[in-house]
Amino acid sequence: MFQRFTIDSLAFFESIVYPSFADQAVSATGFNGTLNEFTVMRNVVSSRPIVNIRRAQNIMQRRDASCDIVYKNLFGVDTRKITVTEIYGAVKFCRNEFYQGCLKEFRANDPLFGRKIVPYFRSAINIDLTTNAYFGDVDRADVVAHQFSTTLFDGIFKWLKVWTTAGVIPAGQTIAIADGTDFTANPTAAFNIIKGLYDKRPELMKTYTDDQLAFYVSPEIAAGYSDYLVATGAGNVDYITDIATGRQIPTYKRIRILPEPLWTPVITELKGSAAYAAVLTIRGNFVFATDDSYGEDDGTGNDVAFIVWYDYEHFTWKYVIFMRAGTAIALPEYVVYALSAWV
Amino acid sequence: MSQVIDNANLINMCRDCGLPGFIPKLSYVYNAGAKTITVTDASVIPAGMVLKKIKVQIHDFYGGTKIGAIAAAAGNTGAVDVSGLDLSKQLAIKGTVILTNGGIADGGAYGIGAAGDLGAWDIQKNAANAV
Repeated sequence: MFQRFTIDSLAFFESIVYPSFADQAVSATGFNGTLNEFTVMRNVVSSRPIVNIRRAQNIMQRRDASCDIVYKNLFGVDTRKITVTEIYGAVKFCRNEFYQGCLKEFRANDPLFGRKIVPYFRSAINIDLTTNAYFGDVDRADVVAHQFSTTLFDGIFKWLKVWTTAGVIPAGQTIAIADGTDFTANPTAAFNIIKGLYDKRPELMKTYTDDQLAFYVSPEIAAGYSDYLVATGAGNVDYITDIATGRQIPTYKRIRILPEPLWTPVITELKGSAAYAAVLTIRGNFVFATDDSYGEDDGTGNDVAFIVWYDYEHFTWKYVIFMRAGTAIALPEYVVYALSAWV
Repeated sequence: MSQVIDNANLINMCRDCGLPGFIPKLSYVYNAGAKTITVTDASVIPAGMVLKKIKVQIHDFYGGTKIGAIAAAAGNTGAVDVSGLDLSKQLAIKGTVILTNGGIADGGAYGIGAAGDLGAWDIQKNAANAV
């Protein structure tokens, strides 16, 4: 029986944070959404510019009879910023509190729960990271009754609102989903949103290939679109096959449609009634930043990010995770989105 | 060749710590008889910066939480009712002061007494709020 174990910061990043964002999700984390579409920046200590490299063409000129020539600039940069904030998760497990009353008999030989704490803890952290990476908003008021965490750090949908207000995402690249839209009863509405997103792409976004783009949608919109294809007699034929898993991925004009299972429950909780979202953008446009060297000193000079120990003062197991997290959108100009209205 | 001052480690340091003069301060009063806590804002917000909101969380030792908020500078949360928390062990109060220019400061008071201030303020400029 161990007294305490720790995972140093880099190993914590490699084994717990990064796999949440990688293509093969670790099974213990219990949840597999579209987090693997994020680009991960692993060494952001407080803030880091995201360099937006603008490449120019249209640089050639006609020559005259002089010996002078005019020099142009080929590259321009402006910077956007990604910031990270320190967050932590801490839980404790005291057998006396947990097995009370009729369950007293389990106190001596905990049949199940003690050993399950770590995987459930990691799963909870993973879900908190996902809900904040998309829906986090530090300005949002905390609501104790909410089961999803959405106030730790700013997420992608907050960035969409910020960039829309700033005019970087023009109103012509947005669609409002009316309250009360039911994609199950009305599959045409789902098709209209997906087609609408595709049609509203800015001209420069059309230079990206189908493989470089993706639709991220609430599962109801993906299901409604699928129903629409069947209803119009086309059959469910608009798909591509993923080479690695052999699974069929629905597409619209060969652009992947990736449903995100957590979106609907979280947005519905925030809004109070059913609400949905759909985004068409370049894959990898969403950035998640963390610091793989952040943690607490374990007494030997190593920084550890995940600590499990038994506290003899309170006779309680304690579990703590420390990390830094932040998000940004690298190229907000190339985002087209459809949203219900929610806070 | 010797360097009198070696700034090699500072090259990548915070490029924009642009919140000079902002000093967050929240003070609390815990009325154990009435089971309420009132948190009052006394932050120093320099000219040019505007307070957006302040969020307050009160935690008990067993994971219970109560929420309070301050909408305007120098305001308070009103008396937040903590009778629903387990008051047999120490409470903790955490506060987040948010400015309109992106500044966010997190502070806390752990094991609170009858009155005091929140401390250990961690201040940062948040990119999304600063756009």
